Amino acid sequence: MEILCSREDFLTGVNTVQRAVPTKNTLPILQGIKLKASDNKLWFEATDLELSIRCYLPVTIHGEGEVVLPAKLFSEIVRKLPDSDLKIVSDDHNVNIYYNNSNFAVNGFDPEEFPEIAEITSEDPIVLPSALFKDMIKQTIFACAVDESRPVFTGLLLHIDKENILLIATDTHRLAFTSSVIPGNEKEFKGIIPAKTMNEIYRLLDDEEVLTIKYNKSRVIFEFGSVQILTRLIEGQFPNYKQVIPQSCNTKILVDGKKFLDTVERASLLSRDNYLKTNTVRFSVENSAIIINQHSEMGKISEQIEIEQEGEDFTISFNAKYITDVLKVINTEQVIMEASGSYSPVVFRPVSDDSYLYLALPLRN
Amino acid sequence: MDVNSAYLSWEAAYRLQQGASLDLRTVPSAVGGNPETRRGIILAKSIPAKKYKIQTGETLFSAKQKCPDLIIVSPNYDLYRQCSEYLKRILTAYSPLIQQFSVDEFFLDFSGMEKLWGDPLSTAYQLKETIKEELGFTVNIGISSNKLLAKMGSELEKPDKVHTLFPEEIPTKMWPLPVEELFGVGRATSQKLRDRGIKTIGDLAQEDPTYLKRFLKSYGILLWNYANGRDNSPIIENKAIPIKGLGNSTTIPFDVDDRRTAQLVLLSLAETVGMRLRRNGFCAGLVSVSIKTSDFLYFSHQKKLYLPVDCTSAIHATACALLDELWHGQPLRHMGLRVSDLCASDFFQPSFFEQSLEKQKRIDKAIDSIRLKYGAGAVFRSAFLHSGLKPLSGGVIEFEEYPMMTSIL
Repeated sequence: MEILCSREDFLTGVNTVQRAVPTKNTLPILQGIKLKASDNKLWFEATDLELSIRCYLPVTIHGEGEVVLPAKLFSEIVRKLPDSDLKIVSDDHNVNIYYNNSNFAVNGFDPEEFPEIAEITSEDPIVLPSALFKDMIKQTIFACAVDESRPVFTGLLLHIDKENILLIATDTHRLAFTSSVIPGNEKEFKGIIPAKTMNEIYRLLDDEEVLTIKYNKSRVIFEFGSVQILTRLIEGQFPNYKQVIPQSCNTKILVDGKKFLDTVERASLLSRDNYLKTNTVRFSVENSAIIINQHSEMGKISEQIEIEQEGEDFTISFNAKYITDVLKVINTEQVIMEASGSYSPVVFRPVSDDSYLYLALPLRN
Repeated sequence: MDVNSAYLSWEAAYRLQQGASLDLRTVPSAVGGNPETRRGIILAKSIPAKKYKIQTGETLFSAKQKCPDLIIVSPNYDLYRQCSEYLKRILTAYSPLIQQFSVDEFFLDFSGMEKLWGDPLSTAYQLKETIKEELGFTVNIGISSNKLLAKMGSELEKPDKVHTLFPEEIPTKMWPLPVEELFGVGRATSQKLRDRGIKTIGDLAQEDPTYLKRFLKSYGILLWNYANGRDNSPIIENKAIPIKGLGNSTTIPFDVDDRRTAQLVLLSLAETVGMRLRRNGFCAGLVSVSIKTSDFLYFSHQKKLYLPVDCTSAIHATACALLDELWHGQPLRHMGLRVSDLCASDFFQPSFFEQSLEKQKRIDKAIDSIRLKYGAGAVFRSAFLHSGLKPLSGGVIEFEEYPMMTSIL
């Protein structure tokens, strides 16, 4: 293999695929990034067997071939190279990088050992605008579970049913739901996509691009620009989320999202709960105001925000993060909150937009 | 305050009250397990039995060899719990601040009580006599300016005595004692100290603390302070001690080799663990099961729960799943169940998609209150009928709010 390319292009390729390199030590070969030169394209590939990322750069190729280089070392090298044109020449498993009048030789792995990233041949992919999908990810992904004991909750349910597209995430304490429309779509898809994959899509997706989704029963490929992200679906049954969404409420309030966010963040400074290992916040809704009177050994805070209130008064406690997370992603100035007493889930949604909904369970005390 | 040979005294006082003619305290006697159920060790002995060098924890067989006439009676933990509670009730009249340190040991903060009761020494005598009169057993009382010295004082000459051990009395009363007598010096530590020629508490007190620290780490400094009578631990009301986890275990009278019986044993442990958990107002987020095979091999597994629970049946279900992971059918002699990752049961984060445990909680609450009022055996699960197993097992005394054993004052 012999290719010519700029250091900047090279760095883009490495950065794109690097997140798929497993952080835990599994198979040694997976610690590598595969480079493959053919048809005037230089392909970068990395995989942890669940998630694979592949992208290409147009380069000048003098000799085709492939090589696998240790990801961590390789990316450090590329980062530290001078900004110049590079010539990369492979010889057996090893690579020589020529720059200015110097060269760096790196020992690689046997490319034969690198797992083949399976193609999905779908004649009829789903096509949708990137910006829409990116927005949907942003509004839901934070509600996924971090704890891996129940894999189903570490992913997002993607449900495409003709023109409707839904994305749902829950960690069993809260749930984020968003829906949108893909005009003219005829296809159907339903599967649980790992949050890690969605994070990578969010990171790499450009607003202007078009996203293509190809799928079979166990895998999905997301293609956009020169990037392909292939992921295994999470097996298992996503819970029936519809049954937990309240259909009515006793109190409906309208609050300035930014003000409420700031207040909750201030109040939560005082209240690190040792049992829950998180910050908690307790507030009352009464006389068209949200009232926070929080105290701990460290101090106390009293705040009041004017709101529009319909229905009965109540007092409620939350893991503060469950409120701040959602207030950060709702775009409208005013946020609707629908509650029924101190123990039922509270619904958060933007004003005049039925496509988004978030609900969180309060703390029980 | 320390009850003299607590279990045995209580047993003896109870028997006299029931019309027995023999006072167990006056003859070589002991409270011990039952060798047939493989719990054959001495739990407490009378002062005459002490003369035969019978030790707490030795097997009944070897105790009988030392003293063939030894009278052995079975333990009755319900009685001991009652005695302990009655004792505490008497003490509350003497001070508002009482710490129950174990089933038979109490600390009383007498600061400021002189105005009400007069000087501590005469009050102690009065208290000791009241207990003897009302409850029929004797106690030792140690008086001093901190908990360590008071405890050491109560251990001086027994039975039925009041001792003072004020700081100025340390060199004469405490320093001549063998180093093992010091609170916190157990078998392992005593060996380390004796190997270095430290034989008495006085030797320890005069040792260079940095030298002690070299082989006992920070514990050496603590012991050195103790040996010099220095201790500043406050008297804490019970419940103030943070509990990190709780568990019970039981030695089974026969080797268990079938799954159903093993699950029943776990159920009997889940009953007691669940009751303790609920009584303390906790839910547990982690369950662990341990087993000891007939070859004395020990294994354990644990599992984190998605939602913290305090329900007997939920704890049992998790324990059974753990048992299936852990056990391959070897004969079992001992099983244990432990819960930790505790959180307050009245303050927690609920979940969607979880089965509601409200009904279970109500059942547990009802059962707990029946057992509290009418005794632990008043109601039990029918699975135990004809099983040859106890419906509740593990835990010497079910409702303790104090540690069974501790080296922390």
